[in-house]
Amino acid sequence: MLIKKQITFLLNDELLTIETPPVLVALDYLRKNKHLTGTKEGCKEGDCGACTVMVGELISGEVKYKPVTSCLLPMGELHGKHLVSIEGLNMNQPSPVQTAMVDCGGTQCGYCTPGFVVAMTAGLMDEEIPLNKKGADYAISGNLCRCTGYRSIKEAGIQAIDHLAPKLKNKPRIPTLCDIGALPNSFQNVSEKLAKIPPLQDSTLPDTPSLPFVAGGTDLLVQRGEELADDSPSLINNTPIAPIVEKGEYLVVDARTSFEDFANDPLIQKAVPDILSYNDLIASWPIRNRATLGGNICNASPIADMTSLLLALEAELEIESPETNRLLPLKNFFIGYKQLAKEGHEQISNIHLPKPKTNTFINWEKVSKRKILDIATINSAAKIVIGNEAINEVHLSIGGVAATPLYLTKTSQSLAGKTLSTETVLEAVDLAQSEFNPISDVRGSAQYKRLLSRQLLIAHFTKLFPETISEEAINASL
Amino acid sequence: MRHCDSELHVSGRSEYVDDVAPPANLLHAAIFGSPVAHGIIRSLDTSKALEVPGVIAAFTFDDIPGEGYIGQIVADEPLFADKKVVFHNQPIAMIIANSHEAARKGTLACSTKIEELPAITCPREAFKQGEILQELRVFEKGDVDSIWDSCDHVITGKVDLGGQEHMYLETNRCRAVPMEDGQIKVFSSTQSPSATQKTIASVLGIPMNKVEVDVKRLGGGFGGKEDQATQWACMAALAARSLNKPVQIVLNRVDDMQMTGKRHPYKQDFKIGLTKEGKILAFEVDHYQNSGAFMDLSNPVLERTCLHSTNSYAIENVRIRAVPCRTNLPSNTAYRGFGGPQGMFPLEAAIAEAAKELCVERDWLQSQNIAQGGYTFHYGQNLEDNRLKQTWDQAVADFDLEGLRSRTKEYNDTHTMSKKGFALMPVCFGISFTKTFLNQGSSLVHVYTDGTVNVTTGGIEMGQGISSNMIAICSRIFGINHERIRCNSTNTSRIANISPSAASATSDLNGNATIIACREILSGMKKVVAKELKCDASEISIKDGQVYCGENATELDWNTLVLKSYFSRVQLMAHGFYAPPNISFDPIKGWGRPFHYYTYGTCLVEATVDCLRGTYSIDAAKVVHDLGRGIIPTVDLGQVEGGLAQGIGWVTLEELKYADDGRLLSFALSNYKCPDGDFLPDDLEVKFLENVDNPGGPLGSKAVGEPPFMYGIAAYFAIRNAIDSFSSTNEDEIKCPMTPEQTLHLLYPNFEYD
Repeated sequence: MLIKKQITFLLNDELLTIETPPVLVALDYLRKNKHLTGTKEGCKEGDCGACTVMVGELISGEVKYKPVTSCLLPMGELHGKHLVSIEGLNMNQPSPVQTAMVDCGGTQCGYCTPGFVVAMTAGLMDEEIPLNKKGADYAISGNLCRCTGYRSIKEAGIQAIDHLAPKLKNKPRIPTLCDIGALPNSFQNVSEKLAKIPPLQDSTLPDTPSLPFVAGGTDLLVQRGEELADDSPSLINNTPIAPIVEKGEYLVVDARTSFEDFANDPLIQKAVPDILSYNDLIASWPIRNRATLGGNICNASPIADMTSLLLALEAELEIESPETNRLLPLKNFFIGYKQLAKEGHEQISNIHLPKPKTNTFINWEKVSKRKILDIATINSAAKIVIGNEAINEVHLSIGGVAATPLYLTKTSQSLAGKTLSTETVLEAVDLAQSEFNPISDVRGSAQYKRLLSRQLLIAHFTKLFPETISEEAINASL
Repeated sequence: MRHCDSELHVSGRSEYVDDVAPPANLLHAAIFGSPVAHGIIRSLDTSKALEVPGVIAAFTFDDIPGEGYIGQIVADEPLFADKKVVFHNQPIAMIIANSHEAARKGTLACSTKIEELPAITCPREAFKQGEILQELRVFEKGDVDSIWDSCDHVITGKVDLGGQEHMYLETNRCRAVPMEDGQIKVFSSTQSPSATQKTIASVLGIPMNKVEVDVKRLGGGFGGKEDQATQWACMAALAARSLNKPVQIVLNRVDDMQMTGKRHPYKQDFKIGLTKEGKILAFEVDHYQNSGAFMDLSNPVLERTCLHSTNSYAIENVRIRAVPCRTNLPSNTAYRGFGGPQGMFPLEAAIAEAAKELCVERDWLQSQNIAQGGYTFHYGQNLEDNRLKQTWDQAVADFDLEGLRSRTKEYNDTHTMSKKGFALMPVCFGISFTKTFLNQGSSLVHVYTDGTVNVTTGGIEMGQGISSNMIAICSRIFGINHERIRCNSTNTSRIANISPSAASATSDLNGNATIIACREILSGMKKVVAKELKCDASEISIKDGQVYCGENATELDWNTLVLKSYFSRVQLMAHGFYAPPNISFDPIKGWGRPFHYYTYGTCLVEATVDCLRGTYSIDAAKVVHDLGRGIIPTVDLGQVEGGLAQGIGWVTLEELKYADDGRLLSFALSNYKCPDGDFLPDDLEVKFLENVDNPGGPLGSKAVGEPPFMYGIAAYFAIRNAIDSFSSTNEDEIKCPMTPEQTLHLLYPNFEYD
């Protein structure tokens, strides 16, 4: 049943209070309700970036902006937030980003262009994104262009950064960008405006949450967006998301933590040293700003990227309902294709990650057709604890070869106590093949998945222990 | 000067069909497509759709007042399925509602009972079963059959060449508005406004002069909206006229991918014969084109495949056989290169195989056989200059091929699980529609009394910069600043009988027409002031808006000149018409001079393969391109880079997968991957031949839209070149694209798990 929701939010420089279906996506709201047509629909599944907007959220007195794809952004989540479309970036004169795109020939048919401009601008506004080529590329990781070949767009990103970096040095970015005419002045006092919006008094919500639970919606709204638009599912991202904390031997992660926040958390970076390099291979910046760990797990896709990592990290799920609160190892959570060991109304509240012991080595591998913003053909993670003489523990996971994300129980167990050697690895990868039976689909043939899974399992060892296990030696023995 | 729409684009203010403020009472259409790829419709029920709140009407084949079948070459395609369905998601019914969402719900409420028949998706299979759209065509030169014995090496092979989704960011869309007296005005995202106008008239059973088609711009076309934007416009027009309300249809991405055709996949057999010195003596190729369900543009696409089957190489004995095969897929259609890339690929594959057998470098074999001035192609046209070879030589020198070769060898000698490779690709692409009659362009130039100018041509702005080129041409001919000139939408009421914006020829045809129109206006203006300045009109010129008499600036500026002309009752608007001379082609004999000229270039691509994971990166792509004298540097460069990018995508990531029952499995951007900024190399360099003219193109320019696409083929062979340093491959059928899957299989050809 559709129950409209009243929200107050800032749209560009306009404070609005509206009644909205909770899962009306911002793209449709902007284009159809507000006739702000600079935001374009390219795919309506977060895969092209033509509809990229920014969402500003008040966090500890400061507004932090993130680019997101408006096609998967429920309006019901925007209470107290700042929604910025391309129109909200326009000034009397083109901004340095807009000028650079014109100068470099970064726009041809123009349909993808507003999305690029929003994403590039968001990159300049985010203190965490470096003002260099890497940062410029990071900002546009979710945007597709079919006309240019990207050279001109990438050059535009560099040109804008070269122009702005000296002026932004050691200064807070957003106010400085406003001062130098790179952002409209309306960005100056947004925190005051948002602070004045009273919290949502949500008397319209029913006592029992209606299903499904929508967190980031980056998969759910792709699969069921049209259907959910007429409904009032629970938007569980509406309350603040708890920071990641240490609790004894565990790190406790709010299940609604976004991929991006997870990878950028210092505790996680300490536990999983290469997390940022894995992050680059998962979705895109705008999608990672929305996609949540809990959503990735509950969506139960056999090739869920974060899930494959969490499986090898021995994650445990804290599952809550009004009646119960229980812990379940993630590896016991998947009981069949998209079938979960939880009742519908139960919600994963937290994810518990055991802190790695000394001499723990972690690696995550993914191969997809395209490196960035693509679904894995195979992904796999390994956590290996090395003892004095031999391997103490191994936890291997693999995705894309079965109906569920897979924890390789037999193979993992078989390696414990063994000496690390080429033979050990080859035996293990052979054994692993007996634990799954891939099928042919759009991401690859069964034979390919067999071969690729072998290669990626080998890659864990050659990457983590290049001195002991060389790619050459393995290759010679294959 | 930059692309004239740039500032609108970067601020999101440029308008596409559905960005324009909607007229009152705008209705929305959605399509109910066939659930199966092949079958006989036993029943169809749209009554439940009409019960969905907001749904107003449903249309099927029986509701078409005029001709129900459409098609530019053969009218063989029903607008809605007629008694049978021949591809998955073929439109069966259209639901009209007061919102897009309601119309979509209406389609979900439609039902049909279909007696399913076996689906064919492979062109070889279709050919075996006699499912062909046209008889086999043969092009021959020399005497292939008697030459094989004199060859030192004869190599045969098979190719499985994939298609390609256009993936214009803007899906197909149209808005149709009924006007007084049964007229209809149509805003369509089409490359072919006149074909759209003509087909709407035919479908509605009304004369063409009651249909006005207007096209402001496209969010990308690439050929995908040459013939396949028409049907959606016809549907919107049908509903608009029948309900007497404006109707809009905007396909969602999945519908667009499932319901429209793509670049034709081909199956091919080749046979190449060479001397031991590396001279190609004979080449034979059979093309089985996967045409899809209807003719669409398959015939001319296949024709260009045949014309470009020897690409840039001089071969004295050639036989090309080609047949369009009917399969249960949406009709495959025009796509940048228009069959040319599919023509060129098998010979490049044959050369790669031959290089292996002769134990020589592939690029050496290519260079030994590059066609030079005076060579006559198998369809009778001569190569009139040596600029093709010039681009090759310059690429080899400027990009330090020998240095690259030794660096690559050194890398591969010192790396076991990572290998580098490179490949060159020469391109010789003929410019003109091979249907000679289409080679005509029109332009309408208006000079207003305030000195500003409007130009309208038959060219469609789809990002390629045709509007900018037309403005630049007006600016140069008139001698005034480009900021005083605007380019209008393309409109069938202002320009009649417009050829599609296709074949790379749009700027040539419409640009030359614009020059003619500008000159006509200018000649009248000059006569007016010649009197006053007491000189001959031929001595008068305009530079930077100032009137010159010989070398001397006069007191007169452009605005004064315009006003004087107006008050002297001299025409300030003109229509220019241009048809390139000296082209003719007999499609039956396959002989003549089909092309106005050729565009040439050579591309070098470098790649690195991760031999553990089967992934690869494209490290560099470098091009020497013959552009003639370019019109606007950023626009021209954008065309070369963009074409190259699409070509690289075609041979690497972009994989159309069909289930055996004919369903498209790669039906969304989540499972069909085109290149992104990370995939395409930062090291992308384009050099233009310097100081070269082209008498055939406006202002000495050359057509640039399609030829660069084929540079991308180098990426395929660069990856293969790297793989060859790791494993020896000898597959039964050479498969393209070189996806990571294909790469890993070639790296580990002996892997088998049972």
